[in-house]
Amino acid sequence: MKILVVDDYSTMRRIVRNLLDQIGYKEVEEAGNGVEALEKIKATRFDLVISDWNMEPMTGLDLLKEVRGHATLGKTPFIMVTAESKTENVIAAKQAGASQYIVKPFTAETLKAKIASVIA
Amino acid sequence: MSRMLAETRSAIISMAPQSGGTIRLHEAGETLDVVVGETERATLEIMHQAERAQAAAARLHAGTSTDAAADLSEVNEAATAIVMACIFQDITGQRIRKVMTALREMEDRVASLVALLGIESGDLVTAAPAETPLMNGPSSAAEGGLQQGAVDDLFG
Repeated sequence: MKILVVDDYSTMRRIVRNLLDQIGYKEVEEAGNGVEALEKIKATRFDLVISDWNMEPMTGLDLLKEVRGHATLGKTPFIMVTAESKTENVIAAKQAGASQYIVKPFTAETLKAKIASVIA
Repeated sequence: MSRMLAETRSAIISMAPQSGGTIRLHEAGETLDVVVGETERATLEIMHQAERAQAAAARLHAGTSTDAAADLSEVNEAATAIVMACIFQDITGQRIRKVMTALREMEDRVASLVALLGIESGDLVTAAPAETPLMNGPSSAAEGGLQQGAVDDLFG
């Protein structure tokens, strides 16, 4: 399974990649923001996108909307992983089509469970 | 008028950086940059040591270790290094507290100056915050932040 991890904080990308490796997902690519991620998503088919919210120049929410609006990529599972934990954020992500929403800080078990729920 | 100008001058002078236990205000930004750097370095060190321990544990688990005692020692050494790296929290905490102290002092002095000049709160015009919808950053429970369980409930 090919996974794209999107976060502007390289350490966070490394942490998520490490957790994915421990869970058993070895095919992982990284992007530093929404624009970079969108380019990669259009060039390569990913089975799952795990994205931060608060990034420039394109936020995770805008990336999600772009993916959901795309004719062929629209159904790609998309997990938002963010410190944005207010109700309006969660609702906005759900309305935009997020498959799951994980609040930072999180555990490996939470990530594993959310991935299992979206790829089932 | 002359007395008021003198008092205002004294108030402005008192806003100048103090020597002693606190930092100078203009150093606050630099101090926070140092905190970011120290935190990043500590995190990378912790990640490096964790990956080192995971690799040794994986060899032992898979039965491919050529020296089990050495691999066990590696796991233990990595764990110790992780604990040592966590010392950064104490150091960065102290730096942040210094910045907070400097900001509180500045806030008190600005409040004194505002009172001295007879400025009412209604006179203060604040610039409209930049449009950053839904970009609040981390929120505590008191600030309306949700725990994972509540998020799961919203997602159904």
